[in-house]
Amino acid sequence: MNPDRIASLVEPDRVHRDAYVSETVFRLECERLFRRAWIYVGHDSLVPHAGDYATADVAGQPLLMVRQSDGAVAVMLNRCAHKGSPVVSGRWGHVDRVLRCPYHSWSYRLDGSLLAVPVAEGYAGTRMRECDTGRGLSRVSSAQHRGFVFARLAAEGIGFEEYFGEMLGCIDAIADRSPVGELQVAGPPLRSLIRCNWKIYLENIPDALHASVTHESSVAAADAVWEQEAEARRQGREAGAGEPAAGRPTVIEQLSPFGSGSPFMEDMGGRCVPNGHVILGVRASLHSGYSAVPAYEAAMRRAYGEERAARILSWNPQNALLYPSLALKAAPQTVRVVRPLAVDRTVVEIWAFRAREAPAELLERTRLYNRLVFSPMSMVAHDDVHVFEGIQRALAADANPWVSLHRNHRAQLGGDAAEVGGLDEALMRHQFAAWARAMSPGTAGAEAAG
Amino acid sequence: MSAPPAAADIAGFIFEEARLLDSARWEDWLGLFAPEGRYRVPLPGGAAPAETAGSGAADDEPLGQSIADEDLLLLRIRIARLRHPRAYSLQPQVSCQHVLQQPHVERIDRAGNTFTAYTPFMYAECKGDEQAILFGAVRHRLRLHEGALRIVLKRVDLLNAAAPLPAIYLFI
Repeated sequence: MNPDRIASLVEPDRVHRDAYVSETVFRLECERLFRRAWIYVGHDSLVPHAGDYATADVAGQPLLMVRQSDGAVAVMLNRCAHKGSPVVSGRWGHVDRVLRCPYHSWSYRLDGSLLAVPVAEGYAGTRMRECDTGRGLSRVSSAQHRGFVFARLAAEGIGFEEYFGEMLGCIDAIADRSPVGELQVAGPPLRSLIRCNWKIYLENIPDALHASVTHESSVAAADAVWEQEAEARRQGREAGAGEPAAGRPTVIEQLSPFGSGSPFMEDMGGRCVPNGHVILGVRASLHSGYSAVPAYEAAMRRAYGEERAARILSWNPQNALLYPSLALKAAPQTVRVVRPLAVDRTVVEIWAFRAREAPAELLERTRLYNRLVFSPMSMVAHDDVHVFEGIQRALAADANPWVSLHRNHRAQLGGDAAEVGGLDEALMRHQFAAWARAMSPGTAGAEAAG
Repeated sequence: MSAPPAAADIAGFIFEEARLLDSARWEDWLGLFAPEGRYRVPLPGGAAPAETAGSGAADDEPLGQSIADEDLLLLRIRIARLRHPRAYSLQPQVSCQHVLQQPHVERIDRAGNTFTAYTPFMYAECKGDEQAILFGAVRHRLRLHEGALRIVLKRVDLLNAAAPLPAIYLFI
């Protein structure tokens, strides 16, 4: 795969398989796309106190997010300026005021600046202080919105607000699900290792059509078992077996909609937002039919007033993708993070968020949904993973090197609109148009910084 | 069971349970659960409800997730799906093998009708040409129900539960 051919891999209505299987393309993605884009690092509730830190591996770059003494969150590389050792280990933890390297005890302030080196007299007369080494842990541009911390590895490039635009409203939408507008990570994420290219996973995030096909077995099993169970409960009630009949269990509420037909999926609607971001389910989603939690809705009305509470609760997309690393829902409060490891290996983190001051039932629903739909032991995810990993292997076939994104493509109408149907493959074409732009040879100093 | 269970009965029950799973006799396996039975694979740092009575596990963590946490209704759904002809992830067929250490029977409380055991294991799952191997320990909490030992809780603590995991298709 010749790097000069990158631009030829994406056509308006199809993508060449080399985008998914070429090692060269993956290397260029790490050098270009993942440096130029704003990548999700973590939520600031992971690091509530000064000295708390969390790490994240973003396309080979070891990022370190540290809570500062003044309450800000800084992002830097977890790489000692001396020999390159990570200064902290593990996914999160706490240090007292100083980050100290375990190799030769170089120490850094919480903002990454160099505090002290051993055998300091040995550096007198050297140029250590004047070069990159003397600046300490390399700082990375970072920004946050409602506690969601992002970083851009390239020293220069598109600004945070310009990059995400109206997608920041999707972060607001999930944060506003809390009566006090605050989210908190609910423990560590489930993590799933999938042997496929990261873009196969990303394309699936706004893919409504696959739900009733790929997940047919899960839907059929849930519906059949619930039918038996409901009948047994009915008979039990008639026989006077005092047990009160509960309503439809949450598990059925969550699984059954995966079987929704194409008309519903199309009517969900989708939206393409500049820079590759997409939303599936701008009018409705598979989450729309969940039963109400009256105490929660009352708390929301008290907090936001009737009208705004109704608006917050009615906006419930299937997925909002903040390209290329973060997928949000509003209810459940599920946050997925996509971390590419290699051209054919991807880790997906599945976080549950707690909406502060909301009844515990919300978190229960989120945790159940994550287990049912995304966990490494989820029967729903099993069929997705089976398909994704199969695609990665089968794309090696030579006969037809193209992946089709033709559905609803209307070249003669001047390209895709922002508002599309839920089944329109514009939601994938849009990602690849942004991909092709981000993969172009360097401008804007993006690569020079590397 | 004609006599109150002895340690050997509890160990035998646990070996038999694994054998049913390894033979894909999932409906028979489900029959080993008490009506309130639960199957749980925790995520370290996740919630730890009061499920390992007397073990000192924290009962009060409100946060956290589990890799699996299923009551009988969910287990029935999962088994119905395993039997479905279009459960694509089971093509090619997935099979599994438990290798159990001798269960350490921790508690025989006949008055309280509670019996617990701790069983380190190795678990292998094979799909087509690929095999995944997991290590961990199972904590069983059993009780007598209609004269037979039944599972109140099967808790599977994986050694690498916090690591990114491949799909685990069957029951550990």
